[in-house]
Amino acid sequence: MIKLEKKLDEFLSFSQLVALNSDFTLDTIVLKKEVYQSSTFVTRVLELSSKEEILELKRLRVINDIPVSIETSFLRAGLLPNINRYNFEKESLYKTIENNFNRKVSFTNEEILIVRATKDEANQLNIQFGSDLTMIKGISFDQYNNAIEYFESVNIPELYTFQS
Amino acid sequence: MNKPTETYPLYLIVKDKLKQKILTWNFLDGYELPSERDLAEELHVSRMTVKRALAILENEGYIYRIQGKGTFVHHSNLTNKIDIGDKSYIGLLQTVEKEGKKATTHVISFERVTLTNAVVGHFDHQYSEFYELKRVRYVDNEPFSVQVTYLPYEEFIDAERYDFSIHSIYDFLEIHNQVPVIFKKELSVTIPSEEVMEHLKINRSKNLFQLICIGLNQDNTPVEVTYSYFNSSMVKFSYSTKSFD
Repeated sequence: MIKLEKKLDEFLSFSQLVALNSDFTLDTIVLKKEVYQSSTFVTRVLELSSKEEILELKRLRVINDIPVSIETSFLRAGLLPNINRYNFEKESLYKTIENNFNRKVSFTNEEILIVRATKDEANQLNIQFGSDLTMIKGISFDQYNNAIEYFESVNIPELYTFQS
Repeated sequence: MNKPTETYPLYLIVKDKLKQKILTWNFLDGYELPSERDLAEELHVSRMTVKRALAILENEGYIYRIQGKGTFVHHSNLTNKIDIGDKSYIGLLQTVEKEGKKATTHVISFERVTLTNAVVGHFDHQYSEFYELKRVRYVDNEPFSVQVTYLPYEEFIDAERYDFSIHSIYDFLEIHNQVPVIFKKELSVTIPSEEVMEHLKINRSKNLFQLICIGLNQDNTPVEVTYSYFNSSMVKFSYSTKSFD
């Protein structure tokens, strides 16, 4: 049973959380990596004064050969020039941002919902269309209090327990 | 659909209809909306009317469009949900009423029980006798949550004198000067027991939020433990994290 214990008050990236358990091996598959003008929705959620270039990065997370999570990040490409040239199958997103752009995630505001799997999500996670998923969505802020990312992840329901 | 009037034109009626569809999960298929032409045909209106309605929904953040690809629903924007997370108030009653909704409670049972399970551990093994209070909480008359609260019998023997369909646990604890000041929470997503499903009027096996909340007083002593099961379509759980690096 693959279980991750997420602390409700401490920020840890997915890869850091998985690394806490020595029995888990993490593989990442990049499903989408595209730069385009932000949608109205993302512009509003990030409270941008106008539409900006956004990198949409969608990754499938696989633990011990079991697909468990699809993470979608919408990153402010303007703050992170040429970020789309990194290979996020091998490199951690947050480490890349920290090492190359001098921005560290300082805090996040997040929400958990239960939602139903789309056809694509069902295919990628090997589950039934319409079955339940735990969704986590939120905004990451850097040490300068800039919103740098809006993220949404959908996860198989038994993956996470959340603790404070 | 309603008939349009001078002050409420057709495109606004269409917007409401589409928004309702979005909010009730009628667009499950990859969250992609049908084309403008298909929507116009389905609703028996012109394509221009659909276009105008969609423009408003995009502005309001319910949908987004990718040029050349299509129009998609953001299920993350379905915020007709009550927040039961860290941004909510201490009690469900206040949380719900703050949203302008009506909260009511039905007490299923109130019993003295002897326990040996995880509940005992949450109280640091200080007690084995408890009051077990089972309640169904309703929001605008819809079953919203089933809550099972444990209070140590010897500390709160007078709990039986209170009507917990009217008074909250916290009002009762306040009388004892034992209002929790810290909460340890554990949230998971599980399929609940049949009893819980029945009270929440859920007829098929479905994943719900299970929230275990341990209320600690100012001396860091656990005074109450509540297991809550929430109708997942009505809630979200918010919180904030900090990097400790």
